Amino acid sequence: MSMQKKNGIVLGLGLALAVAGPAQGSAGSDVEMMDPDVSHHDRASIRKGAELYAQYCVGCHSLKYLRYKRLAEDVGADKQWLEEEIMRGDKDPYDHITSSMDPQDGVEWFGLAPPDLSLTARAQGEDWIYTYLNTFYVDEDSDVGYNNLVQEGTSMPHVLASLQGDQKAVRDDHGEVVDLEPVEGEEGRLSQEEYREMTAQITAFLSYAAEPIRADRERMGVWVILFLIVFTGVFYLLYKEYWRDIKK
Amino acid sequence: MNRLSLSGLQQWMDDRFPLTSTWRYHMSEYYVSKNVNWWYLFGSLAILVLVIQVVSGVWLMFYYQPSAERAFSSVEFIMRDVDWGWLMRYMHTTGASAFFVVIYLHMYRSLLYGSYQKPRELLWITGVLLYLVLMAEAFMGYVLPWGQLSYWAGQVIISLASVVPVVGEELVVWLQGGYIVNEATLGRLYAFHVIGLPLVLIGLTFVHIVGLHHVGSSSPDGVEIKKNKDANGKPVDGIAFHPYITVKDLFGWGIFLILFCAVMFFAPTFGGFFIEPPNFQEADPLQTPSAIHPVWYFQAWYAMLQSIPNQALGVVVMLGASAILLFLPWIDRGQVGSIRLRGLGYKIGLGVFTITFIVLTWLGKQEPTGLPVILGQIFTVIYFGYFVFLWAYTYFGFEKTKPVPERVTV
Repeated sequence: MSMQKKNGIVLGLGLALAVAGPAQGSAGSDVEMMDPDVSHHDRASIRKGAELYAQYCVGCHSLKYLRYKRLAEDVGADKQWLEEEIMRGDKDPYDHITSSMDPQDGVEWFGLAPPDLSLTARAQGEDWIYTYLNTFYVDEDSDVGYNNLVQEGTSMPHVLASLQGDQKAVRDDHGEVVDLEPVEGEEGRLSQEEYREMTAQITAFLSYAAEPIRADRERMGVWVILFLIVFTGVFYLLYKEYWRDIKK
Repeated sequence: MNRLSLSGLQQWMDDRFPLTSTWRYHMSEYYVSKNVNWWYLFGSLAILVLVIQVVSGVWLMFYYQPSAERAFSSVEFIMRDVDWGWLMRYMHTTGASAFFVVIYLHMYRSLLYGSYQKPRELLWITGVLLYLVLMAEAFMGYVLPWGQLSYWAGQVIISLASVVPVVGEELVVWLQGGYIVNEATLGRLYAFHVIGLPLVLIGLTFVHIVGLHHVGSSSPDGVEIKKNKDANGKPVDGIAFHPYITVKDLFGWGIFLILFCAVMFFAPTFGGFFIEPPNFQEADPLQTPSAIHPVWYFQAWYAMLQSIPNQALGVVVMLGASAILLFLPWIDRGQVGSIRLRGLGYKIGLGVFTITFIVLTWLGKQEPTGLPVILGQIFTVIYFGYFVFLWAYTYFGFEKTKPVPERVTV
């Protein structure tokens, strides 16, 4: 048996194993995840998502590992944008993005303090966030009036209901939720398409917030790899030159 | 001779320190079989990865805070606020997995070419010890970021000590410095990770290399090149490590670094295999994660542990599975080393063993119920069965080997 062939088989098996089953953290939920289809290189979407976050989310959810200034730099915005769209009030650009809500109030109002969302995109995945924002449905049994497909029994009210409109569950014979459909007469201000675009932008922003360096790291990586390829090419020629005498 | 020339300086040094002789012994006059192939690259790659881990690790130590309160946030501080901190962190996490890739392939080379056989038994043993220390080092480093999996993996692994008869429970409390994994545990794992075990690792590496250069490298043909020397005492089939192997390895390092950087810059979590999603949640002693699995490089051993219902037996089997490697030079009674000369039975046996290890690695990620448990038991038996087979196959002379060639083939 040729050694090369054998090497190939072993390495191939290892590689197949490595890509066989990516492990995402959203265990326990068998809901089909929706793909937000956003790129971490899309600065316009991240910027718009940051504005939406400042408008609808930051009242309850902090981003304690992200600084205002870093955000502005990464999306190519200036101080004025930061002050008008994001900070809104007496905040220092060097501060982390905090919520004005007292965690204790959260416990009293919703049963638990709203979590910090700095790393949610990395812990749960972009798909999870996007699907979560799109699958609230009316549930009379819930304290907050809504339930959610990806997080059953969620403590979060549907704060974007005025935009999306209400959805209700379509159930099968066993009472399991199989689909969601709009509640007539409770339409939101946005069309379904507009709402999906908006939630995709929020997802893009949260994905950015979970790893601000990601886009830069990939841009940098291209040059590093190119450099190494050239370098390795030189090493190869050196190797060939030295070994010419031996491999006669 | 001019006392101010370079050779004058060399003479001055050599009168006081064995500079030239050491260089010759280990580099320019250390002879290696001229047909060593790419399987022989992984030893020097392991050194490269060790250096990468030490350098990036020191950098991380500048900012990492080993306290329950600040460990997790200090890692995010490194990722976001420290210049190039993200690079050092990803270098270290990618390096950890790369270390095991390299070491597993390095060990596999020994199986292919019988590099553990006489006179290289001690070389093999120091190598296995290095692997054991590396596993401890990796486990302890894994706990430091203080994410959910860090914490609970720490809890699971340390609690294995509870199977020790009589004092087991007290031993766990003593190891943890409390009734659960806590800041005291973090502190001691940190100390072992950054200085205790690295000292052992580097010391053993030194012994490993000194041992290697005493007996010489094996060859893919199973030929001992030292048996055939020319008038000057140079093996006729040998080439000097420097410059021939150094330039060859340099090229190999380039290929490795391309792959390494591709992962580091484009897929540092490697789809959840190198850094797992639940570890982006801070450790919470009150909330058990839905599934606790070790990182990929431990999963084969973990599969054995979780497929055996009796925990004490599971621990013994798991430890035995790596400890048995220490005895490999005496289990294999084969007359030849290289797979090119060995009997068909050895080739099939090694193939089955390879598949077994890969299947066990996959099983270590599965839920410990139903089929995975049964498969885990079957493949655990096959794993140990390989060593029994290997001993019987070689001890009773079933193996039909090819004769050892006079010269190496190029």
